[in-house]
Amino acid sequence: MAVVFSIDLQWIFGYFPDDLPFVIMVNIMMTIIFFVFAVLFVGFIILLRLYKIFRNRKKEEQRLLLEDILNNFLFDEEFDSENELRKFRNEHLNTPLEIKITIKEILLFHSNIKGESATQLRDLFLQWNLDEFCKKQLAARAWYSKSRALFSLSEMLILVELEKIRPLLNHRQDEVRQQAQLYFIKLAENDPLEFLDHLDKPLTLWEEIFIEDALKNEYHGKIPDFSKLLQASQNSVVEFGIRMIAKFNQFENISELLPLLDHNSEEVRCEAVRSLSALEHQEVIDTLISIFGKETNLVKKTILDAIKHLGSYNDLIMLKDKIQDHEWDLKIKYYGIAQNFLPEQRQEIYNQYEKEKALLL
Amino acid sequence: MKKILVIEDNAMVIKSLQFKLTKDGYNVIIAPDGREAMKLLKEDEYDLILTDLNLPFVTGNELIAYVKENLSAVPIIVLSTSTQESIIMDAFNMGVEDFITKPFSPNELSLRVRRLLS
Repeated sequence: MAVVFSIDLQWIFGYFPDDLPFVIMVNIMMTIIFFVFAVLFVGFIILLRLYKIFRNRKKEEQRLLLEDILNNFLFDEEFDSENELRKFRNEHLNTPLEIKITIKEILLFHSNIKGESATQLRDLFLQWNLDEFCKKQLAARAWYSKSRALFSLSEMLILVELEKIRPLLNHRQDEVRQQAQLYFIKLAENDPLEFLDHLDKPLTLWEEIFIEDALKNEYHGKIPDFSKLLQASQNSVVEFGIRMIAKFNQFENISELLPLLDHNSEEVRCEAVRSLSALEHQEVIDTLISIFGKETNLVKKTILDAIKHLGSYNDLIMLKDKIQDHEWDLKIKYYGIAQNFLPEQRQEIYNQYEKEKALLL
Repeated sequence: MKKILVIEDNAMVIKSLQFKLTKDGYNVIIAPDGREAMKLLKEDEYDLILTDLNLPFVTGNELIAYVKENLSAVPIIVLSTSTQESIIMDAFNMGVEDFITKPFSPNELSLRVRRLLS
């Protein structure tokens, strides 16, 4: 190795005059090396920039072409759709970039337009085989390609074998999971929440909001019976089901909520109390008072909120003795609610609170 | 030729409205924001105004108030993504003639424009 190194150096230094000091030779050599690197680096950046400019120009050209052809296709009765669309497909739908821009533009039109024109756009999507491209993208390595493909397919209401979508429900990337959920909801005929049975991970709060929003705005079938979710193995799904029963006013499911007051999960019990309160189920007050003493702090607070909403001052005072001396956060909450029930005795209640506080201190 | 002022900031919607309404035989003038619309309204007369509510610089409501105060004869159609009842009610209370929610049906829009201009 030392020999090779020495030979290489000899070969390089051979180009320098013999009387040049070694340090100067090394300096010159390093300067040349860094200069070459700098030139290569700047050249690479320029190439990247040129590529980006070219790509953006191509995108803009394709977008303008599409705007033109889509407007003609949708609004011009004299437009020769068959020939023009075929011509466009042959000339401008050849590279993945062209196809991606086309999908994006059609989706943009589709999101702003409804009625017959929206149906025409869907037909065009199929006619140009953009659905096939999206289906292939579902197997792409990049998560954003999968996510975009799912979004496109669900927006255009295109059916895909569920075996291809189901694994994406448990994808590591949030966006892919959400788009897979949206796909199931939008394309479901009668059970939009069937996908919840296939989840491995707990639902996040954001996912719950997303599903609720999709149910309200994207799903057009019959609203599902949320009590089915109460048997789910995942507690997050059970909590979601409880919340939805209240959000969608499913009074018929009140009897399904009551056993959940004994559930082993604290969050599930809290959610059950909240939903029963939201559904104005006053008959639950006695049960809430009876379980208050053995409950956790979080559930106790939720029960106090429920009594404030559903009950009376008489119900509230039944809880007073069940609050332990050290449970100061509950006492503060209790007196706050008591003031709401008896505004005329506000000062009296405050004095009582101060008295108890002084006794403890 | 009847003149329509379209006030909209979504490029795609602008292009489609311009295309469709021009095909229907109207002279379509575009204002991409509320400030530009105010300027155009002061310079020229229009037979109908088609406006979004969420506009840059001058909001749709401010624009409607201006039109109803100074050019009360010009009918207004609101084209908005908002489906909130209070927003729709507010627009009608301010005197707009019609309210269309996005996504919209171009054919329906065309009919409503024709009805107001006939």
